[in-house]
Amino acid sequence: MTDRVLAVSWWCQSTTAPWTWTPKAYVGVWAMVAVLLGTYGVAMRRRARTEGLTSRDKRAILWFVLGTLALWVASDWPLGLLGSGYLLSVHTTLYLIYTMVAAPLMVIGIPDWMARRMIDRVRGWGAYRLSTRPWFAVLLLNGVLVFTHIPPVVDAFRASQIGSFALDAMWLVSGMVGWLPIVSPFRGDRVQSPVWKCVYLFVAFGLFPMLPGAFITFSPVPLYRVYELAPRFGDWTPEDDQQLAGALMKVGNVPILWSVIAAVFIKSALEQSRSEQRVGLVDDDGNPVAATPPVPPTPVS
Amino acid sequence: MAIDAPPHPERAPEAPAPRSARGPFALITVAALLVAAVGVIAFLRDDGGDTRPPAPTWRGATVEPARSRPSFTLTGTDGQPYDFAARTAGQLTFLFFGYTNCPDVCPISMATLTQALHDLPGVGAQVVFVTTDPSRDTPERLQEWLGHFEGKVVGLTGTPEQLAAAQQAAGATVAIAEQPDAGGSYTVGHSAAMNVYTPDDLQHLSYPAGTVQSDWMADIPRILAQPGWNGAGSVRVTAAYASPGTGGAGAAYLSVTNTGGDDAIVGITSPDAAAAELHVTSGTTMREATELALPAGATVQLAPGGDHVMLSGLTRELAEGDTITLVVHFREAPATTVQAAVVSYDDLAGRMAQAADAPGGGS
Ligand SMILES: [Cu+2]
Repeated sequence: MTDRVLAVSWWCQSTTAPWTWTPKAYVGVWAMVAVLLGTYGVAMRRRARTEGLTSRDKRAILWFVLGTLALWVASDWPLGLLGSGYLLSVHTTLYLIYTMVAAPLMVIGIPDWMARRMIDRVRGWGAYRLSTRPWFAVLLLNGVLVFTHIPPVVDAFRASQIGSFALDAMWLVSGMVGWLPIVSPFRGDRVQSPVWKCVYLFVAFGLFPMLPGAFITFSPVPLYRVYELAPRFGDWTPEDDQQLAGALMKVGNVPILWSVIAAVFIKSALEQSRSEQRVGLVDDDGNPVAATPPVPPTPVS
Repeated sequence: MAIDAPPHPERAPEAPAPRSARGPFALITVAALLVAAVGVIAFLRDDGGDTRPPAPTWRGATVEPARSRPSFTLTGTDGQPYDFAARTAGQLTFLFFGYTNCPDVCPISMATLTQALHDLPGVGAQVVFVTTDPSRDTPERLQEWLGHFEGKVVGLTGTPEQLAAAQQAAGATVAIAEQPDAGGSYTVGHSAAMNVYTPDDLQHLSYPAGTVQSDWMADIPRILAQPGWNGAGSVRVTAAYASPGTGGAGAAYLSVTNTGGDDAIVGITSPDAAAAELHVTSGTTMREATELALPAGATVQLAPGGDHVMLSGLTRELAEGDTITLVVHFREAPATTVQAAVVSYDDLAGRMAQAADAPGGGS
């Protein structure tokens, strides 16, 4: 912890200085965003010059930029500082933004050709293969979730810029791995069956957060020294803050998670009807038709 | 698992996974998750700290040799003089020097302590906040600010000389106001310690800034269970409750633990009631008793349905959330003053049962 918040520093960390609305500069956050967008832009420009960009590539750019923006908003002042030094509920919100917004958007924003080059460069095929295994993704995502909500761990990591950065990095990486089985750049590596997709999404993102959520909600005392001893933000008591954080942990993922699950179902239903149409199983209104033309009725003599 | 994807033509064919690359990565990850799991288990085990037997380690700093309860008279928020030593004698007391414009340590230290006391049922304690910034902390300002915290906090002010003398009497470094900034606001450097005085009128412990609610929740019951610190020799009142009373009559309940030789409760008095009588129930009859035996090593409970303290001529109505002062007189041990919390009749049995299980509360 520091006893004052510097006007310019690298990453957000906890502090005993009272909260003010005076903006602070976090150079590390800007550098991260610049490096992410810069390398992505260079790769896209090179691809455009050599093979040209497909419409899928162009959509990917939009997703990647949105994902990086979410990452930026979650890491920079004011949210980043509030989450690392003042409010547990913001810490929890940042976890949700990192893993449920920034991570999937960034993965969707990486086309297969780019992913292949990235993984080649870091010789990361082993790690990649492992990460597409649903059991592994569930384990890593939720291992990080639980680990980064253990009170002494949060207190220790949030106390320094490097620790706070490590926490954020763990969230992003575990979030990306968590989404790989659903949105891997290589379509063949995704979970194929819509039903299993939904099961995976629920198990990976919906089930485990209930544990820390309940743990946080039912604790009679503030659990995290860093947030309990932080200067007050408005009239919030640490108890209010912790209750909200527990609730967010339990249900904060619901809107995104269930929208995605709904989307998976609708998409699969549409695809199914389209493919049935192709083989002539349904007519244009979606009504099933017989595979063989109906036999004309025998005229009654 | 069944949801593994079948191979797909889009998968990078030119980049087969080198088998060796997966080994170390999986190993590292599994190791990291293992470390995390150990962390979780260690934390959960540590969380059960309340059930550990009292150990001579405290979350605060021990004061050795113990310092006596300081004597000073300041002015309360009601404008009346407040003699600290006399008003808090024999009671668990928390004394803090600070100022209401403090951005961090003062409000947080007061919040963690008062919240903990609120969550520790049946613990009677006095909390006294003495300003170190009398020019800004008027009695009204003090009262308003202290109203943000749970329970009753006594706010005191005085002349700069009186306040400096009070800090010196408590062994605290005298606070100094820093230079005002351009806007005229300034901070006050002051002792951040929460001074704890036990019923033996001594200070054995001092808690630094950064003491959290769970620290207090862990230590306060142990402070009250500490042999020799609790004034009434080896006899200790571990819980005191009253039921809501109207029409001038009410009832109070006690849990008393005797870790010394044979003793007895020989009477109860209360500044809030004209009379307080010991009523004991034997069989179906209830009678007034002049004394109630406290055998060596026993915990005696005056609990609902059995023995109780009959209060009459109450000076005020007792509503849930109020407290009433009781003085318990013993044959051997010195008298003990306790603050009995008024709780609904339905809650009484549960609270008394809880008191019987409290640390030092006997079996
Ligand atoms: Cu202060």
